[in-house]
Amino acid sequence: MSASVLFRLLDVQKAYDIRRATGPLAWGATGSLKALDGVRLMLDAGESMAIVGESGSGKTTLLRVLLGLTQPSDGRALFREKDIASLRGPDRDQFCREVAMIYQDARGSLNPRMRIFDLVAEPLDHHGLCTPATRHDRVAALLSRVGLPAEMMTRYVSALSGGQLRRVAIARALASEPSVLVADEAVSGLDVSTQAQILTLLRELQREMGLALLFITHDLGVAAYLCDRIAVMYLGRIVETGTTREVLKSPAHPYTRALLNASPRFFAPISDPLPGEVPSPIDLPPGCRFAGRCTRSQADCHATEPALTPTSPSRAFACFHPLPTAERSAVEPAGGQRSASH
Amino acid sequence: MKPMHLSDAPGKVSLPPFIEERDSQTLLAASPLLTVENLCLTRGESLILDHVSFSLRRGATLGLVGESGAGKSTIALALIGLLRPPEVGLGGSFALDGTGELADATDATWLGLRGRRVAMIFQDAAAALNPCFTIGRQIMTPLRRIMGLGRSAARERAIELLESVGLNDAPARLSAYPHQLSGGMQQRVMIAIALSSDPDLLLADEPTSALDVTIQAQIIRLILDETRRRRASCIFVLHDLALASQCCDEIVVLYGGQVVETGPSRVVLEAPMHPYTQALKGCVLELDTEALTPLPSGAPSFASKTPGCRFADRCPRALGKCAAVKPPLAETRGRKLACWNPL
Repeated sequence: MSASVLFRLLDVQKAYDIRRATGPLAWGATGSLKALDGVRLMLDAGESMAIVGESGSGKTTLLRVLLGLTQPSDGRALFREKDIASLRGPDRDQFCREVAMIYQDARGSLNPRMRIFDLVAEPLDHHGLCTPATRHDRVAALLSRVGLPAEMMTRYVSALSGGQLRRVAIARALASEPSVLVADEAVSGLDVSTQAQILTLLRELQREMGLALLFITHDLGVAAYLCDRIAVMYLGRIVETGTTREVLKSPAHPYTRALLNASPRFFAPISDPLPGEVPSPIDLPPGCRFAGRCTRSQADCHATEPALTPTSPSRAFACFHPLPTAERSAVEPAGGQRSASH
Repeated sequence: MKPMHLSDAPGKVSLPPFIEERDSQTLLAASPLLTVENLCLTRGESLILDHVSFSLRRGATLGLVGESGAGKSTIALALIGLLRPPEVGLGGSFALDGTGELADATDATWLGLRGRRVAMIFQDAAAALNPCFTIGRQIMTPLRRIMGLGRSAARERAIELLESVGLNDAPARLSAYPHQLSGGMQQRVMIAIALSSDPDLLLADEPTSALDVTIQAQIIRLILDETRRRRASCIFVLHDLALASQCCDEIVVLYGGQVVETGPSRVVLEAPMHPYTQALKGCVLELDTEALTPLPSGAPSFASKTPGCRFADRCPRALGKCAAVKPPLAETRGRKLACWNPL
């Protein structure tokens, strides 16, 4: 097996047993919530991948499995061909150094009682990556790498703006000299102008440092801008995966198409929205999870669950009735209008 | 006289492609519903809104766009009388069609207007709904107090409203508490409450920024459909220019409490003339965006007493006089523009 594979997920499943009360006598009735169901994923060194899906699609559980915070209930999650959850000793240390995380809530993820200098120096000290003599210079270099002036070092979290905090979080992630950055909605909740700055920075870092990037987002635009590959998730399953360009240009799965239609585009008429909401993942009925909201669903969709089937080395989708190729490439009328306006 | 009542058009109406339909309708109803002239709002020493002027025709939708701190939400709160002296200082004037001057209106005047003429959809539905009361109670309160309906009539109307915003199983939902509903459903309930007293003007403050994209499309579509059906006007507060181009007839671009460019959204967003509008547009990610051109950081500060254009220190086209003299908002090529060195 290639040595450059960082993450490999083999049919990972995570089910939570839950107790619920559905009536006066139903206390103790149990159900099962499948947060992840049969997820296969591979991330090579230097590769960038976006995990896209709405809330409830299992993105966060996937992240927890990747970071070894949650043990899959079935299947295996490997980092450099070793089981993540059972890493111990030096392997575990190496994993922690190599996999850096950028959290969604930058303000909440940084200790308000520490100065920016200490926050960025903490991973350096923890992994023994600098000597007392080089400590200051390393922190200054990291801060300048993410575009923050050195005088920020003495500030506290409360004195920084949202965009600056994201930069600190990125500097902190880079401090351990990781080989992969895992980012959970790292640009959501920011102003468009700040978002553009952070995205530009992340792309620059990824290209210059050869970092692998696993970017969890709900925004297809962000995915298209940052990542070479994309995996679209719906209710714990990957429904379509492939190179970002291919998938977004000609989506095969109706859910991907619906996500595309729903993302705002200049002067496009608002498309007919997808009916309904993501159903509850507790005790799902048999068949395709998307069938209830799908415009193309037929009887077989409600009976059996389609498997994620590869159609080319780089492309796979899970649908019995994928969008025909002709319909896929037929760009929405707005696409034409927009390019005409440029 | 209310132009149309909900029960006149029950259920979902299938609409022709919406841009055409909206244009024809706005042409029919061109009388201004809202006029805002030189609205200034001060908080202590800071000038939060600096001579903001715009008007809104009946039946039209208007988008207030800009970064955070531009004063978008402040305008919305002022327009519904939730930001008033002595908390803040108000100058200039604004009025709805048929009301007198509202900048110095009394509590009593506002009590008569809120809900009846102006209603608001807040950004965070979970926080805006009261967790202690059922959905039914929260939607029936305005129906009984403002519309003067009796208990059973209010209940019927509440069910009707909840159905019209796409809540299935509405009678049972009346006894649900907000936490029992998903984010999208909570936002629908808030829209139903805002629509319950048939306002002429609906203010939607980032109504979808907490929601998933597929739900966002549903909610925006719902607000547009419902306001159009009632020939009401709507002001959206948005930060996404692409979304604004999709749902607004008119657009007001704000920077640091000043209007920098305003006009029909097609004119303004297709060929922006103000460097800030252009820069904001350059920050929007589309699926085929190759490279972003981010603005330099440095959000505007209200404390700054610069006599000129507040964007001058971030502006790539700034001239010597930009920081010294404030450019007037003047009619230029189908829009109003405040810039000394436009594109």
